[in-house]
Amino acid sequence: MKEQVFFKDDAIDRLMGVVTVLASEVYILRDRLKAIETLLDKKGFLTLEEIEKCPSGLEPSERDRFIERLFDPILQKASSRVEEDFQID
Amino acid sequence: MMKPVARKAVGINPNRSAKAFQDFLLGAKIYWGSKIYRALYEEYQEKVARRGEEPTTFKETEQMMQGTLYSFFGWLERHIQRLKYSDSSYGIIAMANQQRDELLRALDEIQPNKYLRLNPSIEFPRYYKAVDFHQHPGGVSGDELAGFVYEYARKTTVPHFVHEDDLHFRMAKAVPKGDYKRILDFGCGVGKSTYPFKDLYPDAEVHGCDISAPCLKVAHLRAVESGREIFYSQQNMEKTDYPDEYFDLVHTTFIQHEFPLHALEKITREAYRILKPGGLYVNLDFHSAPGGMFGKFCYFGHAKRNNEVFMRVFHEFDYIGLLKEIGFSEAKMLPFDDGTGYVSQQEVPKNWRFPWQLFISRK
Repeated sequence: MKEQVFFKDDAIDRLMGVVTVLASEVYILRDRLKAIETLLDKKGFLTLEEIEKCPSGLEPSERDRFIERLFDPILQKASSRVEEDFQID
Repeated sequence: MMKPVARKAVGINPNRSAKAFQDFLLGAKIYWGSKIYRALYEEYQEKVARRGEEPTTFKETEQMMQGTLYSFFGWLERHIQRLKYSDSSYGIIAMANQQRDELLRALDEIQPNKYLRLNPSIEFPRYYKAVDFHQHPGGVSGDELAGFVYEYARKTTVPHFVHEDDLHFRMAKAVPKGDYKRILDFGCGVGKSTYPFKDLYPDAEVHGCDISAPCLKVAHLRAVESGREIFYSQQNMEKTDYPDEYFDLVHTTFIQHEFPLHALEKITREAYRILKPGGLYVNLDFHSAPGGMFGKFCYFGHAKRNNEVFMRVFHEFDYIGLLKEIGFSEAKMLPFDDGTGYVSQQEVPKNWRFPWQLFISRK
């Protein structure tokens, strides 16, 4: 069965799939890195078991900041401004 | 109360990376349901202002909203849910498969007993087999581990600042207090709504029935773990083996919208049959989406994007009319606060939410 299509060009649907998985991998790496840093700071050495069990993880606020940076381009809000009568084509 | 079983609860236990992946999706879903949803509403208002009138049908609204933002809105709604279940590394199905042997061993230990009646020869209706509702591959009966998968997936069904378990307690508390001696969770799934009624009415004989054996096994497992005495049985809600006038209270939790109308009618008649005269039939479900055409546009779109093929059918159906026609003396639809504090029947919700309604009917 074919997946649903949301964009005029389904290349964007596919690309979104790639980008989202990539972004999720970055998020996972951040989470693991934070655990590693926490442990390194505390003990000076680490094991895989320690990373897995480390209770320190990304806080919901850290997650939400990450997601905002990732998806804010969808909202297409300008970060800088040129007043209407100064705009050029 | 039964004695709780002292052992570590068995269930899907994701590793650190899978947990982070699911957390990422939860964050994405919250963002989608707040910022992108609100931006879409702004765009809707602008387009309506330009046209000078509101669209009147879903199709017309979809045509009006065609554009980049709606494409992203739709894509994210569909694919956040798809990834949650089906990502090949960190989706819930992948997690369950990584633990398959351990989870199957836990299920093998459960033998049918007076608290768990299973019917291996039960026949599944076509509408049940034909659709992977809410994008759960294979549905909630398609695999022996489907109950564990559904239990885990439910954690993020209602992400907007609502704790998922809390919702079921809210529902139980919203039901008028009564001297309920026998209660049925009708279509109980993994038992999330069964437990609060047992806790609120500890002396009542509490039952749960569902067509899915994998879900019932998990419901039973959790009841045993928590020391709750609950009688689960595998049955088709259209025709159960409970005697006439057996229950004081029969309740359902977001299941009515999963049925085609011919099944919904049979199920409602069955609820009437097994209720004592004066007994209550309570349904927490989705109906009458607030927010005018924009509310309907989001809700019907959700139905399409999330494989909820009968959601719109139920929304457009006069359910109160059916309840009265069957013989319920009272039937009303009440607003339900899902924990966000939002109970309006009119305005567009601030964040995306299901159009919760609480139906309370008396036989």
